[in-house]
Amino acid sequence: MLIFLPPRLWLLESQLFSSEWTTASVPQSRKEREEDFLFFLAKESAAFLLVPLEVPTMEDGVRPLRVPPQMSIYADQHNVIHLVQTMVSGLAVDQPEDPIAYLLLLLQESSVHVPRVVLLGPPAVGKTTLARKLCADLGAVHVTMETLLDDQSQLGERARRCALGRQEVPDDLLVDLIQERLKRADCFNTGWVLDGLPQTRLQARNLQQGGVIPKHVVLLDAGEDVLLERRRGRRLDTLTGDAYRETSARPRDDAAEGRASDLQRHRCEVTGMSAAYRHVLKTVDGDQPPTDVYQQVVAFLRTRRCSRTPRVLLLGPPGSGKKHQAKMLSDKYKMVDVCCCDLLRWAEADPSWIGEEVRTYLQHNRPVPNGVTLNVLQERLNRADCSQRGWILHHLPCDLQHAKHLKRSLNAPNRVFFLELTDAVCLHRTAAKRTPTDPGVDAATVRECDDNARTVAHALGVYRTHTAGLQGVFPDGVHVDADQDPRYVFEALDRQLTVQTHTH
Amino acid sequence: MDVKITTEREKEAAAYLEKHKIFDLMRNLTSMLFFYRPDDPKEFLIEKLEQLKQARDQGQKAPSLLSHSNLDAAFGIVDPANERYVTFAQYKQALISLGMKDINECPDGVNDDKITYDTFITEGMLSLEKCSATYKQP
Repeated sequence: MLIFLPPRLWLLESQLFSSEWTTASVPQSRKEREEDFLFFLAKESAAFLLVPLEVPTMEDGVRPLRVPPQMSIYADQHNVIHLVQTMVSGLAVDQPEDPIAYLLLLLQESSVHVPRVVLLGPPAVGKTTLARKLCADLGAVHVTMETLLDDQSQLGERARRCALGRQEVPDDLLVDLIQERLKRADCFNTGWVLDGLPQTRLQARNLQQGGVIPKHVVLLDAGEDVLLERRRGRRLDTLTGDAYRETSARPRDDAAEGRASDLQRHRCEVTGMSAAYRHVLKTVDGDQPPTDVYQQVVAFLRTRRCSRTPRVLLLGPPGSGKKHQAKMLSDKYKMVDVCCCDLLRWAEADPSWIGEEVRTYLQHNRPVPNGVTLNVLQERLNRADCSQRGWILHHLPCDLQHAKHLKRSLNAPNRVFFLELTDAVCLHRTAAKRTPTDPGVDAATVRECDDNARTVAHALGVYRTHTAGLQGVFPDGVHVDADQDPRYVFEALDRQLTVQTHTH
Repeated sequence: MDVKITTEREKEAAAYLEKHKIFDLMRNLTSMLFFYRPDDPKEFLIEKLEQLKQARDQGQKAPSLLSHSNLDAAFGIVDPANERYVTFAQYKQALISLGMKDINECPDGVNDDKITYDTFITEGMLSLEKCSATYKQP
């Protein structure tokens, strides 16, 4: 074929988006779908990243085009998908008259990393303290109910009148007020932190429709007794003039009731709001010292949802649960589960050139040389299903040659996990797997078990010798303690898979 | 009541994207990005957007991934025997595969079902310009 080929390429990245969103419950009911305006935007921006176009052939026939892996590597490296998504969602929400100028502004100001945070939580959990510190450090604008009421605009006037009349500020007025405040230049450029707003799920939905979409939502939570204690303490600190509140019985009851009703209102609304913001929500325990809370929130803010084809490598000693974890992860994200032990079997059955090679060796009962196994691995990972859906690889043969070859190839993994386990636990687990449950165990089986124990010990030794080397080949591999319940290990892996920390 | 508002909002957004040809714009930009794979994607996109802006305001040529040589090569694929003629079906299929829309259904020579090389190139360039002009037509 000719080399002219830059046809109009459309990537099959729509799978990326679907794997991102399958973690949340796919909106089934109309109501849920309405609330996920952002979901709609993500779908729309994914809609144009469709199936590759066809290439004309001499027989007037058409053949589907495969996306070269360099493109997907480039996309991952520069986070292109996120950039494009930001551009399209910005356009769809703001709908400027001149989209080209708007995009130029967006790209030039590199306002892709501007903080947009919502802090939720019951009264007296420490939102305002946290918000003030965040704004001081990030340079964002602190927006609360009080600052909105102080706002010198028409909407602010109306809100003040409501507050003076001891009425609740109506929902639509509040939403308009927030929207207007956040669209102003200082918030748009330097970011904002919404403290204690929105208060209900309805407000959250209306805000989303109005284009106020936070990138991170932090829910601070603490037990009721802690909150009441803090509230009482706060009253003592601030209401120095109102000494009578402490002595007279009735006002205290009212105040206590007021606290309880605020808390109750929050408890009613919190499940709804958590569901509305479930894609970007993180719950932090408010009962810790403020510095700890701050550290956790800042670490969360540095993470970004990234959409990329997952290419995961699981390394670990025998018995660390690689197969089990790989199965759970591939079920969740619809990746392809590639086990190196089964590779030869797959190659044998494969009709292409690689299958031919492997079959010739196996037919003559010769061991398959290393070079051929490397080729088999690459070929498997290059297949359409792996390059489109992503893969999770485990049971890599324990030598550095395979690891280095993988890293240098186009199929380099973008997440590497080292499952940590002590030798004793490894041996225990592998023995437990093999021990027959039948109490009538005879000598032959016992001998077999001993042999197997020896092979496992040997494999373990090999793994340990190569660990340092493997860590050198994959320096940004993440170490996960595999000596826990499989569910915890799974959660730890899952968390690492979907976040990407960025230092700038 | 809420149901209607949401659908309207989504419809508005979809209508806006349609009117300003945002999807075509994004398609062009991402194709160029993935073909050239520059080290700084933002700078590259800024450059292309500036060119597009000038094309819109001053009638210059808009940036596009394909050029005359690509059309030439496409013709070569569908005409390997070098007869310098292709059928209408081949002409249409070739242009569709290159991603063109709004193809002229009645180019010169359609009656004899013999589209010449020159007609192919001319029609192709016209369609290409239309595809690259991804802004609202005044």
